[in-house]
Amino acid sequence: MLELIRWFRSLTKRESEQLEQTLSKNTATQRLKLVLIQDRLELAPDKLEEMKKEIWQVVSKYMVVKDEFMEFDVRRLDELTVLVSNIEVKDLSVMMPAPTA
Amino acid sequence: MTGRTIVITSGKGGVGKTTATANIGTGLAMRGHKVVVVDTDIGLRNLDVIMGLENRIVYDLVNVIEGECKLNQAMIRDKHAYDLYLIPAAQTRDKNSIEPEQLREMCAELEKEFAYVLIDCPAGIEQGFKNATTAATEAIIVTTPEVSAIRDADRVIGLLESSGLHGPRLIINRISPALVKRGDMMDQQDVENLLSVEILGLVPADEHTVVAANRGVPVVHNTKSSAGAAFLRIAARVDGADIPLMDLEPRTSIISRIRDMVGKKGGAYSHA
Repeated sequence: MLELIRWFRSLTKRESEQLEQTLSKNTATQRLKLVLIQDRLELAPDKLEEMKKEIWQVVSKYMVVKDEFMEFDVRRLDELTVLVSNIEVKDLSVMMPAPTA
Repeated sequence: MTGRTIVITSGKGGVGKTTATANIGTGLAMRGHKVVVVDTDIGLRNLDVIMGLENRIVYDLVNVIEGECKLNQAMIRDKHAYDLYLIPAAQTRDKNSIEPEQLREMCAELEKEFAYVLIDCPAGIEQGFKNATTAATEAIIVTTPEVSAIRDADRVIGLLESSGLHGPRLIINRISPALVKRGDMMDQQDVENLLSVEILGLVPADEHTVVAANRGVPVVHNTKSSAGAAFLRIAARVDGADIPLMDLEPRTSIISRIRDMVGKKGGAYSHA
């Protein structure tokens, strides 16, 4: 009996998680987030990807960074528009020495 | 007197700029201020019909700018609210008939006499937008919780910032509490996160707004309607009153409805 209740609970939980993902307002905000970045930077989607890649390449020259994780956001702070990027560093101990110019 | 000139803009058309202008103007007048609303949508004027003043137009904005009449000759006294005036747009001219500086001069003149000068901005980001935003010192942006309206609002916020009109505030219009609850409409928090501007007010989708437009009597006169109450609240916030945003939880139980009604009697927006 208890087992049955537990099973039922897990079922409804899975359903609510699924629902969360398919809520159309979440799709809307996700799509808008990207569109607004492109609009604010006045960059085409492919150019944005290109820039992302280049920034990643530059950073990876100096430290070991995670491949897949790179967050990008363009925010407005009062009168400024700022580009915020989060790049996950894998291991700081393997930080490469900066090349002497 | 030095009044405040506020432009009501959106980028996208049809989100409720004109309705917002009429209602905030009326709400401010109901709070005892001398208010003038200026329709700058030359060629597509509508503020006059929303306010029910379409039959009283003799002179318009372009006549004033071109010196064909005095400023006060183009001001139409509102039928319903005391100390509220409308300067209608010209219907048979285009947006290039006036220059931004000319409109700014006119508004500076109006600021001497009125506490609030509200400018109803045309849709788009062309000449008409430049005219309206140059004339103002503050901006209110109207959007609906839809992707297209939010995208355009963001663009307009950027344009306002770069033209030196800082700190615009946002009205989210036509919110459907039921859709929000179901997760099929972005809520206040979602919009705030995306646009990162201060929220001035929330207006629920309300049939009374349609009826009000049909009759030419701004919905804010109907304080029992949710949209009317929302606009009165927004007018109070524009006026500097420290009252919270409207709670748009769908009211289901009878008890909460009663509590709502009782609350309204002594509420901050029963002032007028």
